[in-house]
Amino acid sequence: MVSTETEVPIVKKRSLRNKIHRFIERNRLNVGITISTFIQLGILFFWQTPELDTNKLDHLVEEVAFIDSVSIKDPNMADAPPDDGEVELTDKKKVQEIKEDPRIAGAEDAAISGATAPIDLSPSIRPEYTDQARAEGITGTLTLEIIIADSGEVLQARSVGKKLGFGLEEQAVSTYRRKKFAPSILDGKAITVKVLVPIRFSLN
Amino acid sequence: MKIKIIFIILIVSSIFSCKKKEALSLAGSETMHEMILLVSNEFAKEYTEYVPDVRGGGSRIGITALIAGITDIAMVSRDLKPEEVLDLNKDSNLEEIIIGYDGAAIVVHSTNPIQKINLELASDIFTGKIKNWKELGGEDLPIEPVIRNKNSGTGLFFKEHVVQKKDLGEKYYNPSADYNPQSIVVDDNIELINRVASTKGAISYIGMGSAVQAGSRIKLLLYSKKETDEPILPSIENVFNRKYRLARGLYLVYKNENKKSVDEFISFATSEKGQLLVSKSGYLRSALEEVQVKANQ
Repeated sequence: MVSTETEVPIVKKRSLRNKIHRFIERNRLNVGITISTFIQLGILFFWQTPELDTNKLDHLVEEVAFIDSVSIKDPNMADAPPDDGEVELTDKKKVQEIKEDPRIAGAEDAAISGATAPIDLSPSIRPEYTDQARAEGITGTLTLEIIIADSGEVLQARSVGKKLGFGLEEQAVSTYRRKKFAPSILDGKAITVKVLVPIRFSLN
Repeated sequence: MKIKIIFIILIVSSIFSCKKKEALSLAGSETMHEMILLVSNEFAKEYTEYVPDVRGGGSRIGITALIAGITDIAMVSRDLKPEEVLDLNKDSNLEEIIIGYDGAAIVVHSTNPIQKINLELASDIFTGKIKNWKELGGEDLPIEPVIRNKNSGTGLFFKEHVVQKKDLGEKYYNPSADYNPQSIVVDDNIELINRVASTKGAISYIGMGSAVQAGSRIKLLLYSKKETDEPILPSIENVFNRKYRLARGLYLVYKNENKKSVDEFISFATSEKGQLLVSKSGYLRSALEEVQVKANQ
C-alpha cells in the first residue's frame, strides 16, 4: 500500500517530461522558429531600440515651472544693459555677414510680412547633375535657402539639411546665384526675402 | 542536426543584420506637435534607422531643452528672442528653418453670437478693459479669457502682436501691456479647446491648424486689424493670399553640428513629401514647389 503511494507522483513527473519531449520531437521546426522569433524580438526590443531620455524633458518642464513661480530680482541689475563683450565674442560670424550685405540679415519672410511672393524670371536656368554624381548613381533631395534682394538678384544661396555630395550642392548654389527674380512687394515697395527651394535629383 | 545549424545561422544572421537605431528628439510648440508627429511618422518609415520622439510643452520648453542639449530639434511657433539666439550660438551655429505658416485664430464658445473682432477690441478683452459680451453687442455674460501658460509660443506671439498692439504700428505699440491676471491659464491646446467648448463666456486664441482639428466644438471669429478693414476668416487660403493678418512662421530650430539624423529630418520636412504633410495638418507650406532634376545614368 505504501509503495504504491510513493510511485504515483514519479510516474506523473516522467510522463510530463516525456510529453514535452515528444511534442518538441514532433514539432521541431515550429518550436525552433518560435524560439528564434522570441530571441529576435528580444534583440529588436532591448538592443535596437535606443533609450529615449524622456525623464530629462519632464524634469526640464518642472524646472521651468519652478523658475516661473519664483521671482528673484537684483536691484542693481534691474536696468543693466546687455553684456556687449559677450555679444562680440559669440556673434562674430553674424557681424561679418552683416558687413557683406546688410540686406541678408534683414531678409524677411514674404508670407509673414504680407508681401507678394517673388517670381522666378529665369526658369530656364536650372540645376543639373554633375558627372561625378551621375556616375555614382546619387539620387535624393537637397534644400536650398535663398535670399532674394529687393533688386531681384540672389544675394545668398546655401544648402540646409542633408548633403547629397559629389558637387550637387555647389552646382545648385551656383545655378541659383545666377537667377533673377521679380522681388517681393510690400505696400508698394520691394523688399528682401528668404525662401526655401527643395531640389530633387533622380536618375532614369 | 541540420535543423540546429539552420537555427544557429538564423539567429547569428539576425544579430549581425541588426543595425542599432538612433533616437531623434523633437520638443516644443504645442501648435506644431500634431504636425511634426505626422511628419516624423512618415520620416521613420523612410529612414528606419531613426526613432523620432516628439514632445509638446510649448516653444519655450523646446528652446530651453535645445540650449541644455536635451533635445535635437526645437519646434518654435514664434520669433526667437535675442538672448535665446545668443545662447544657442554659443557652442555652435544656430539654424532656424521655417517649415510652414500658421494664423493665430481667436476662438469663442460655439453658441456665442459674435461673428467678428478687430485688434483693438481683442486687446481690450485680453487686458481686461472689456469685461462683458454685451459691450460688444452680445449677451449679458461675463467674458472669460482663456490663455496659454508662459511656455507657449502662440501666447507670446498673440501678446506681442495683439494685446500690445504691435501690428497697429509703433505709435500704438505698448510693450508693457499684459494679459488680464484674472484669465484662466491652460497648459496645452486640448485643455484650451475643452475649456472654451464648455464655457459660454470664454474667449481664447489658438493656432489655425489646431482650431480646424477641434471642428465645430469652438467658433472661429473673423478678424481684422482695424475696425474699418474687412474681417477675414483664419484659413490657409487667407494666409496664402496675405488677407489674414495674424500669420506667423513655424520653425525648426537646431544647432548646426552636422548631426546626420537632424540633417536627414530637416531635408525630409522641407521636401515635397514633408511639405504635403504640413499642408495636410492644416498649415500653409513654406517651401516652394520641388524642382525636379532628371538625368540618364
